[in-house]
Amino acid sequence: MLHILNYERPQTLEEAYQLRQKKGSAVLGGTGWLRLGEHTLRTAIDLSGLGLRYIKDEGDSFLLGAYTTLRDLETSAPLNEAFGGAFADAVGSIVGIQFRNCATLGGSLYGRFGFSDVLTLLLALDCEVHLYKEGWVPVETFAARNGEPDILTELRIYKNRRVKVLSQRLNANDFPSVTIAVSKGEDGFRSVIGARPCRAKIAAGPEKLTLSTAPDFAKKAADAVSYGNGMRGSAPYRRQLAEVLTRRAALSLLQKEAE
Amino acid sequence: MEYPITFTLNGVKRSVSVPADRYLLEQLREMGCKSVKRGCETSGCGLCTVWMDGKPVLSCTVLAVRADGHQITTLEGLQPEAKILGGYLADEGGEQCGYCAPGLMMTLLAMEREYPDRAPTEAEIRHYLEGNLCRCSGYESHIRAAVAYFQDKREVK
Repeated sequence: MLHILNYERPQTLEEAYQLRQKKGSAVLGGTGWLRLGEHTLRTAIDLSGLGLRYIKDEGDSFLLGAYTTLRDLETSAPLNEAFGGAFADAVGSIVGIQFRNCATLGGSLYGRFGFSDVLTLLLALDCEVHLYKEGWVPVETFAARNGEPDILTELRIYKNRRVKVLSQRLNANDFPSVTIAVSKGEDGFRSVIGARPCRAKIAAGPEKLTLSTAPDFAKKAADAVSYGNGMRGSAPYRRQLAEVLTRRAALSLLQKEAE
Repeated sequence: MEYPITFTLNGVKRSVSVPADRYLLEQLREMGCKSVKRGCETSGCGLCTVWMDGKPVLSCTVLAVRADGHQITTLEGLQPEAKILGGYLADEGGEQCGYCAPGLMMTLLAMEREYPDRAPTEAEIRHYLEGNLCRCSGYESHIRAAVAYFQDKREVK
């Protein structure tokens, strides 16, 4: 059940920030998951009037506004060209088109959801999160925290890594049993494992890989993080999935490189 | 506390006051749009699909206050197209109990607008419809109806 005592649509980020300092306040994202729990918001802050929905190509990076929808990520040609379709792959199984038309990038990130495909992908890339007061924060630092009374305004994603995301689901648009991302940059390969069902985490890397060392890398990554039991898989099953998917993703990147 | 909002519902400007925690689903049904069906109410089934500014969204999890300043379309506002598409669903046995049909049609008609130059492939249709659940058709009749509908519309164009 949702209870909202006050609804505010600020006209500036400063106004939004001041509202966010109030006890019991929260920024509204796409609101798709609000009904999954009991929430009483003393102040619900709607940033939809602040122009935070954009994908800008800045040459060596992309700037993405916090209110960019998951459907925008899925259908953005420049973004998917730069990352081999990884954004479409990562979000394309999240519930349905209707949901992705509302769900926001900022909401997906700020929620630090254990089941997040988005966070898993972003941790594999060189990415920074912009908070209105604090400024730029590396996504891995942001992901490890537990919420702050600041306003997430945008993300910067550098184009310097190639990435492959894979997930396993019980059916097409269910939450994932496990989701992984492997990326390759100048420093080597990086592995991220999410939906364990805990929050996504960098599991291994950076490390140089060949076709013959990729299986060991996958095993090491799968062993580096913990897993939980749940209705979408037991911990040993998830660990096994993580190893197989990480190996497949690493081999896929290596094979593409060879081509 | 209630908040005044003004939005365009099926082409007609409407002004109402809504509690901040009311969802669009309840508001639209209260305003007479009974095609908007109540289903899972947790973003999972697509029964409550309406358009916001021409894009399909789930009215069960969109707050009514967020409709302020936007164009909302329900199946009541698309009756000529709904009649034609409904005929294809009936021909292929996709109606069954019919409870999912309004949401399904809203999604398919939105898809039609996203593919102005060509008929979408069956794989694209299946992907687009992943958020619309049906408990009786088994989906195949929906897919056959959608494929036939898009092909015929393309031939007409």
